[in-house]
Amino acid sequence: MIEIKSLSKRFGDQWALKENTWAVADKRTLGLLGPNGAGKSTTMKIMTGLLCSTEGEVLINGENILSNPVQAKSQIGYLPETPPLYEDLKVYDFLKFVCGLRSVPKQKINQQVDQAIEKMSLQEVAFRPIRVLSKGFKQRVGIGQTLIGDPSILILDEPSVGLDPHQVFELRNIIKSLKSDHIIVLSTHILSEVQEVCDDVVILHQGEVRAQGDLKKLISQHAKTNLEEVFIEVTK
Amino acid sequence: MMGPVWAIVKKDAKGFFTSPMFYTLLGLCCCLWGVFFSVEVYTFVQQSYQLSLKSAQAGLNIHHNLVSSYLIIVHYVLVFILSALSIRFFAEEKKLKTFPILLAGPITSWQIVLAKWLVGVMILFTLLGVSMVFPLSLLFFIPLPLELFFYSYFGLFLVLCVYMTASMFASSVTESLIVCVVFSLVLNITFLLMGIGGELTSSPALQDFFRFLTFDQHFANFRKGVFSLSSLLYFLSWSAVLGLITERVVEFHRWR
Repeated sequence: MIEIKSLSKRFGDQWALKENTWAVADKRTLGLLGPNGAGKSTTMKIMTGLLCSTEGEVLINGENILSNPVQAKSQIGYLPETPPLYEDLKVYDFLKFVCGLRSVPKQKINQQVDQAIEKMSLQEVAFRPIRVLSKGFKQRVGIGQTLIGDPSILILDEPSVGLDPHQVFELRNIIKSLKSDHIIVLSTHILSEVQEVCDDVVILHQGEVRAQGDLKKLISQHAKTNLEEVFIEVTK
Repeated sequence: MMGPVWAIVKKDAKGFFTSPMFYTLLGLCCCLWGVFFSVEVYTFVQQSYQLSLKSAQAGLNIHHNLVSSYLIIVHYVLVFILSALSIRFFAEEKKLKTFPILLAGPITSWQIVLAKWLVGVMILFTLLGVSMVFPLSLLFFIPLPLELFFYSYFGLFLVLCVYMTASMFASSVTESLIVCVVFSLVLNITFLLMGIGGELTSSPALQDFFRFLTFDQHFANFRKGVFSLSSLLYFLSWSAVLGLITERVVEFHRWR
């Protein structure tokens, strides 16, 4: 479970996040939505320990990301907006490196790498340097690295950005296939994607939570027919 | 605890040792050391010959008059080379946007800095190993006091560890490769010239203070084969302080 409690972040005089409180239960997929500059990426960076909050706390399965960072981070797989890939490494070597980084026991390394390659359908490019791969494959490698170490939580920051429609479709299927085993927090501007993949949503605007809850209930509460209409209404 | 550290060391060391930049700089080092060593040998032979004409017994000491001078040259060349290599520690990682994978991973800032430092030590060992080839080639012609030779190299390693840690620190503060190299050079040249303040003052106490700060003063102890605990601690302290500051800078990335 992820718990965000009264989370605030200030950059200089500017509040990027103000008193955000929300949670994601086990095996739920949450869409973190909002216009540009709403605070989605900042929230994700705080959740993954890349940034510290000004106020409030983030609990990852009960572990505070600030006071127990190593324990909390070991339960998270994170894909930033720009996938952090060592382009000179081959896909297989890169995933092996991530195994080392996440302290995967030696006897399980090959198994973990093979599983990530299989789940992401990376077999044909497994022994190619990452720099020669297409954007879609790079994104898959980026998601593949989040699976290493069997984290229970996946945090994906705009995973479909820059992909063509075929690649977006493939990526959506990959995320759907991961839903059953993980808590997924997904930020995206593609609302149809959220409607198809997510169970819950949090809509941010100017650093504040404007709407949150079960996706279907939220749409009916606002007496709308789809998420787009809810989004437009709450972010006016 | 060391698992993630070795993973980074392995990946970074592979990156260093397969990069054309490393071999270009190594080639440059070899050329410079080769030229300077040949000049040193020529000068040594000339001086020995002239001395042997004056006195049948007295001769020049090969360690103090040849190897020691060569070590100073190795030292100066590596100050610049380490500054150029500094980009590979953190700056390049930040520029290529791969740093989040380390910061968001279940590892501490200490482990990240330790891993980068160990890679730096590996690079130093390699560079020093190559630099040894020239003086050790003299063994084909003349015996060398090997104990003193390796002790001097140990001193050189300690001095260069300070420069390498300073370069690592310079690399941690910026993602601009040029700023990184320039800042690293400024830091390392400041260390190199730290004792110059003594020349600018007439106060004996200040002169003594600056003499103590001078890296070459401490390095000279090792070259002479003198064991000096203060010199050993002096170099280790600088490396530790710079390592500590680097760790704080890495941790600061979270607190922006």
